[in-house]
Amino acid sequence: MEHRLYQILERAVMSQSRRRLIRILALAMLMAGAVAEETLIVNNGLGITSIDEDSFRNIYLGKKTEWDDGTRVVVVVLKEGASHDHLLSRLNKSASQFLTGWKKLVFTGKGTMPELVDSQEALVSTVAKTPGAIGYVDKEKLREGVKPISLK
Amino acid sequence: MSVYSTRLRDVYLAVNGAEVSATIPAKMLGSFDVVAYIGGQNFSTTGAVAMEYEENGFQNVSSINLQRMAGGALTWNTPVDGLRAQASLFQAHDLDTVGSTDGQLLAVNGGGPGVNVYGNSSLDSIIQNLWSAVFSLEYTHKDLVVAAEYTREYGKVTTTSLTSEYINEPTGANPLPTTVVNTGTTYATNVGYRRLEGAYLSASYQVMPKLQVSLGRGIGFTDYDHRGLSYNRQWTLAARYDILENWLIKAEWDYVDGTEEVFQTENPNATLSRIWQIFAVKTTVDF
Repeated sequence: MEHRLYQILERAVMSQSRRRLIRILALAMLMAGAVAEETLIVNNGLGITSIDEDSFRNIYLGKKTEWDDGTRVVVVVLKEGASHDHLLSRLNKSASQFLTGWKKLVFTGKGTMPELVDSQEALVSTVAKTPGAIGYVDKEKLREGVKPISLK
Repeated sequence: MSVYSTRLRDVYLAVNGAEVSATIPAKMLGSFDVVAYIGGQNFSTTGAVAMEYEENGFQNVSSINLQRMAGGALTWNTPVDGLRAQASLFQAHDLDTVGSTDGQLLAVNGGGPGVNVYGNSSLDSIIQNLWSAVFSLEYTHKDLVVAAEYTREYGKVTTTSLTSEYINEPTGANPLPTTVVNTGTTYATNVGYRRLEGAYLSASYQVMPKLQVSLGRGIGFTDYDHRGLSYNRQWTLAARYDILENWLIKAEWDYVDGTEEVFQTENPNATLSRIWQIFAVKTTVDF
């Protein structure tokens, strides 16, 4: 009888601990989501630390093809994902509007398609090895070869 | 590899007309081969040239007329064994393409708030003089062939559109019926330029009597005045195997940076990316 009571108490304590643990984990995940900040990054070779809103839009919509120092702009974007969605919302474009706009430039000889990549790691790696490249990623994905720039 | 537009290769290489050629010995300088031609070409309204226009605003092409094509090439067979140089020039005079486009968006909210205006237009595009120049160098030494080419093309394209039918199309969740309104005719003229540029360097080696392998590096730009806009930089690795005397097979792999020479009509639903690859196999039988 005493043993059974002990088992019930133990289960109750375990259950409370589990619930607490789950709550803590959920809160941690929520906080992690909330603090996952995104940033524009460029190849380290570019001598810029910020761009203005117009340049940002013009670059991502294919209307600005060269940096001020004459380096060719290479836009690198994710095929899909949360940070790509955030980028599109900053541009006020849907995924299909974004791609259709670029295709129109390509097919009329007025632009070169952005490089599409599968993951944020691939995006950062591509920006790091491509002179003139720009991308938009979670800050936590930053690594050597790229630098964050601010939007004025 | 070729510096020609892949679409328009036949335009440059096939002419209905007359050609004269001559070989001129030049003693210590080697010899010169001269070719000159003049003529025309019958363009199909569904062929490669029509497709070029359909990439650039024409929905339908009803006629393509060319007044004259002329060109020539000068080949210098240098005194250096295996070294040849060539310069060629091509001109198309008065290339006139007529067609139409329907349902083109002319003005957002042009018919009032929430009413977009579309138009049906006839189009006439004229290239008065289209020039194309190619310079090439080829060196053959035993089983090795090294080749390089550079080309430029220039043409001023004047397109006139005549819009005589306007369509008011309300937008929104419950749009009103579309209405067709005729408010007269409108002429509009647009001037554009063809300023293509391309170059390549390649080396081919006859590994065995039946097997040849090649490596090439090519670049291309849609507009040589704005090379950053639309470009291609590619590596090409190719192999050719002569199965029989009149039957060969070629395999080619291209690694391409850029989307110049990517056409909508050939890639209607493609997911495009700056970096892409092609693998192609081709077999040819002569009989």
